[in-house]
Amino acid sequence: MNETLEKRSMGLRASRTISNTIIYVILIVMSVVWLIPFFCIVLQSFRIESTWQVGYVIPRQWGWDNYRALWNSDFKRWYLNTFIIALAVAALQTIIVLCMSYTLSRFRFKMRDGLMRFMLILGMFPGMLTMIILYRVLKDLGLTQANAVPGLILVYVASSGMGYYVSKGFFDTIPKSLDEAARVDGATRAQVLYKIILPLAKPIVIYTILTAFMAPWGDFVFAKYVSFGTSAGMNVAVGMWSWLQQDMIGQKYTMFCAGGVIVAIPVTILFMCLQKYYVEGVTGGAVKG
Amino acid sequence: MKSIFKNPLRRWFWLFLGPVTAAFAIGFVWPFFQGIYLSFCKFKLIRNAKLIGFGNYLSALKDPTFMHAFWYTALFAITSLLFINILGFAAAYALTQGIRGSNLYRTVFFMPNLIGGIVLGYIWSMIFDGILSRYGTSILMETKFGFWGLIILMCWQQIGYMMIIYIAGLQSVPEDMLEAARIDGATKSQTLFRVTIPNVMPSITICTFLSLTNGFKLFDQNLALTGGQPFIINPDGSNIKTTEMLALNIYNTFYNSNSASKGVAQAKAVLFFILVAGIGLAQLAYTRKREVQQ
Repeated sequence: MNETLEKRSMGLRASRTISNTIIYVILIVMSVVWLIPFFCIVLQSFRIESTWQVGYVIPRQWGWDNYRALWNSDFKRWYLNTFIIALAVAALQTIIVLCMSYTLSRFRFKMRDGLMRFMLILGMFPGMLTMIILYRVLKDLGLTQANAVPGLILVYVASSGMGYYVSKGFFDTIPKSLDEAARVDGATRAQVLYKIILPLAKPIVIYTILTAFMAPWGDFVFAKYVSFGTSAGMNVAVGMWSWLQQDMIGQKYTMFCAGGVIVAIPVTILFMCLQKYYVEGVTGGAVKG
Repeated sequence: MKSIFKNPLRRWFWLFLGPVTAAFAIGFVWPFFQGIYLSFCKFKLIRNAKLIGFGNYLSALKDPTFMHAFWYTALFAITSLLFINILGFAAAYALTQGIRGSNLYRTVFFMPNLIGGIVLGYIWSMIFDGILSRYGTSILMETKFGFWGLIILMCWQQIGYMMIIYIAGLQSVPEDMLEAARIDGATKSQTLFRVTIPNVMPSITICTFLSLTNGFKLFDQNLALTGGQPFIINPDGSNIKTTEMLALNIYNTFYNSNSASKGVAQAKAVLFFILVAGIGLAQLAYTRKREVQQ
């Protein structure tokens, strides 16, 4: 009796080890597949024997030439543009989104449901629809081409109120009784928001900042339209895209790879530091809300 | 007067609300309605737009490239939805089995989300061409290469995101339910299909709709990976870009030199908006229904 039990538990343990091993193998294979593209681009960025696309991955000659060439090109300007835009959008959008979600989560007013549904639907509209008109509006304001940076900030921030959905969901999970207790103690609405709700909603605040930063960081269509071929107003995606056109790709291909590495570094670091909050934000706001 | 001084909020009302409202009006509301208006116009420059009624919509619906792009996009969205969700769920399931180093795997799988679509598209076109050139072909040569290439790219990019949502869902499955199933002698697969999956339905709903909308709205990756190639040239000289999706089709219509094409592109964008909003509303209705049942 005892023996069979022992055998059975040993069998269980063995099958558990086997299934765990299978899971590990699959996960490791997947990780390798996931990382290959990153390795490719890093390796290509150090290749100096040819700037063309070649049929092999590991460079025959290594060097920093591509990065040096980046430093001496318009890339610096594009990078700075992108950085300014992303920073400004992250700051403004975070304020707008948090105020908006707080209001929608805590206040009950006429047309609240209607407004929420209206915003949700408007938020899905494709940028294509307004591209021509926005270009016209920005051109009239003098915010295109070389002055594209403030123009792009204006446009990205303008539609940010529509992104309330996830953070409102998160705010909804914070008990209202906390607000009421603070209000009874004499706190104003604003104090409730920044002394009680925001500290409790740290994950969603960080999630909002990160998404607001990352969206303009990689944006392409609109930035291309507004900068309209003027190098001084381009962001990195548009600028680097111009390197891959027929007439440039031969000379700029490895520089493109080096640029990709430089573009990926800040967001990767940012994400790695804030990963925990980001994950809590996504899951707390989207799943529970 | 007295009430204004008593209530500083009212005095500063416009100072706070003003800039945001102005940005919202200039950057969003005005262009949005003007965009819908222009879809009923014929124009080359916005200044001399002429109202022509539903003509643009008729031309859009009669345009074979637009219809092709629609069916191609629908096929792509549904295929990618299946792959992304099944693989994302599987990865999440594996990572919640008490694996060591699951944080590291999570970071690795999430990493592709951190880089813009254009750069991703070009990296993958380089990889695909590196493989396919050994067989004397390229991703631009055949429609099926472009299709599956884009599926691989999108799986690679989105599985990590969906996985995070699924992990949260899996972690919220009550432990006592799983234990009860184990005591009753349920096998692992029975537990998975009868207990776990019904409990993570909210996550499945979110991820399904998210990947569906992402599939329909896809643009950057499509442009960077194939740009619509290969083309089929019709006898009448027009061509169909076989791997062109809806957003790219609209974009190309804008850049068409044909004088009527801007209005048609505008009409296509409105149709596109209705389609995407329809999917969103379906999701909303579905989520509401589920909430009532609980």
